[in-house]
Order: sequence, then C-alpha cells, then structure tokens
Amino acid sequence: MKSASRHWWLQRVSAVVLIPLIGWIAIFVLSRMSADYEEARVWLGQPLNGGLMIVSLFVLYWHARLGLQVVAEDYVSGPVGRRRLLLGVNGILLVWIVSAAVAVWALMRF
Amino acid sequence: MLGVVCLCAWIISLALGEIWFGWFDAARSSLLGQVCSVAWVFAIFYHLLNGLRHLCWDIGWGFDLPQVYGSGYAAVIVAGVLTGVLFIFA
Repeated sequence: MKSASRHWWLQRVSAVVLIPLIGWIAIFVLSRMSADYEEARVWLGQPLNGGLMIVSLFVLYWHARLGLQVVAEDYVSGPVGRRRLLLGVNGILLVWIVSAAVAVWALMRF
Repeated sequence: MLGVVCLCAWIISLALGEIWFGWFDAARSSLLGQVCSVAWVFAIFYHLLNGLRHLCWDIGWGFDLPQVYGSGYAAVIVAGVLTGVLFIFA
C-alpha cells in the first residue's frame, strides 16, 4: 500500500478504536482526575483500568502522530524543516506517553 | 493533544508519590487549571463529534451542503451540552 493511503486508513482505524476509549475516558477517567491520591492510585492500579489506560495512551499517540503530520503538511513549508519538526514533536510526545505507560504498569504491580 | 500530555502528567504524578501528586492537584484545582479542564473536555467532545462527521462523510452520508452546515452547528452545541453534563454529574 502507498504511504498516503496507509496514512488515510490508519487515521480512520485509530479514530474508530478511539470512539469507545474516549467514552471510557470521559465517563470513568476524567472524574477520577479530581479524586484524592490513594483512591486514584488504587483505581488505576486495577488490571482492567490500567490495561485500558495503556491501550488508550498508545492509540492516542498513534492518532496524534498521524494528525500532526497532516497539520505540518498543510502549514509548514519546506520538507526538511517539516521532517525535523515532526521528529522532535513525535519524539517528545512518545517519551512522555511511554513514561505514563510505565507509570501505569508500576501502579498495577505495586 | 495538550490534554493527553496533562493526562500523562496525572498518571506519572500518581506513580512518583504524594508530593508530586500534590503539585499536579494544585495546578489542576487552580483557576487556570479549572478553566483549562473545561476547555479540554469541550475540545475532546468537539473533536469526537467532528471525527464522527468525517467518518460519516467517508461512507457518503450527510455530504450535501445544508447537512454539512447543520451537523457543523450541531457539533458545537452537542459538545457544549455534553461538557455541561459531564461537569454537573461527575
């Protein structure tokens, strides 16, 4: 498959996967972000909640990466600068996402 | 996307310990934090609804100009209503 049509498909597949995950985040996660420390830790440490969170984080990263690429293609002129910008932003975002995934894993284990 | 960065910050602060969580919680419950929370939730719902519009267009639904305008205004209104519901009930 050509890279443009692969991009198109992956963007839509990640979008469809995110529909139920965003529903879960809106209903169950957002309210817990104002919970106290112990309650939030225990909740996110449960296997189902932690597992869904790790999956959500990586699908969100995937969807964001594809979307950012489109934004850069539309608004950043010059292929070299665009590639460097995307590499930088994707890299920082991925490090942060992986850190959060490791944090969830730690909460599930301890 | 900035919201996801903040979501990660919440998770990481939970794993790092109570002092870090205290910093997160202070930022979240500040006036700026509360304004950003509402804006983030609205942005999530608005993005979700417009994503659904695009998926419908992809399979050929609602592509007439009046329907495109109608669903566009509906997305703003429904996102506002969902945001209100979330902050009232959660």
